[in-house]
Amino acid sequence: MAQQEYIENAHLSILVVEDEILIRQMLSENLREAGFQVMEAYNADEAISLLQATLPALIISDVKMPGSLDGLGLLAQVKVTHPHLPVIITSGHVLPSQAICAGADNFVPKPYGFGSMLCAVKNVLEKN
Amino acid sequence: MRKIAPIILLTDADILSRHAIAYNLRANGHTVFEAANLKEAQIVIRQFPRRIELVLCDETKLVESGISELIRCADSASLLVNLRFLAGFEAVVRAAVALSNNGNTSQEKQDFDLLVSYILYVKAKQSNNTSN
Repeated sequence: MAQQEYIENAHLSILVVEDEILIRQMLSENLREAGFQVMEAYNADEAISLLQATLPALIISDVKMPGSLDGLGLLAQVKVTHPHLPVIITSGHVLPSQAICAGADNFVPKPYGFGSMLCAVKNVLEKN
Repeated sequence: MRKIAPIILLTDADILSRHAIAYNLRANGHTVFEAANLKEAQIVIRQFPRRIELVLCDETKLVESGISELIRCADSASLLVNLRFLAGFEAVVRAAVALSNNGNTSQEKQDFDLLVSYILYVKAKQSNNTSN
C-alpha cells in the first residue's frame, strides 16, 4: 500500500460487525494495516451500542449473527438512525440483490479475499 | 519478511469497555485481539497459542461464567500463555473511555498508564523466563 493512501485512510474509521472471531480479526487487522481505524463488534446489539457512542465512516456487517437483530436488521436500523452512514453487507447466505434492495451500499459474497473487500470499501467511501 | 507481532487477548463482554481499552492499547503500540466472550477467547488461544503473550479478562463479569474453562484451555494450548485477571478493572475502563474521548484527567491517564506499565512488566518477565 502506498504511503499516501495509508495516510489518507488514517482519519477514517470502519465498524466491522462479525460473530466469527477469526474472520473479524483477520479483516480488522488487514484494514488496520491499510491505515484505517477499526472498531469491532460481535453482533448487531454491540454495533448499536457503539453507534450511540461514536460514528464510523462505514460499517461492514455479516448477516447471520446471534442477538436480537441479524445483519439485515442492523442495516434497516442504521438506515433509520444514520441514513447517510454507508453499509457493506457480506454473507454466504443471502443474495446480493437482497442486500442491495434492503439498502446496502455494496455486497461482498463470502468467502472473500481481502482485495475484494478493500475494493468495495474504497468504492463506497469514494461515493460517500 | 512480515513481522509477526505478539498478541494481547482482551476479553470483555461490554463492547464499550472493550473498545476503549483496545483502542488505547493499540495507541500504545500493542497488537490487540478482542474477544466478546469466553468461547471467542478460547478460539483465539487455540488458533494462536504461540503469539499470545497476555490475556486480559474482566474478572468481575466472567468469573461466574466458566473462567476456569478458559484457564484450562490456555494451559492445554501453551505454557507461553499468561493469564492475568484485572482487579480494579472498573478504574481502567473509566480511564480508557475518558482517554478515547480525549477527556482525560491526569488521574485517568495515571490509571491507564498503570495497565500499560503492568503489561510491560509482564512482557519483560516473560522475556526473562524465555531466555533463562
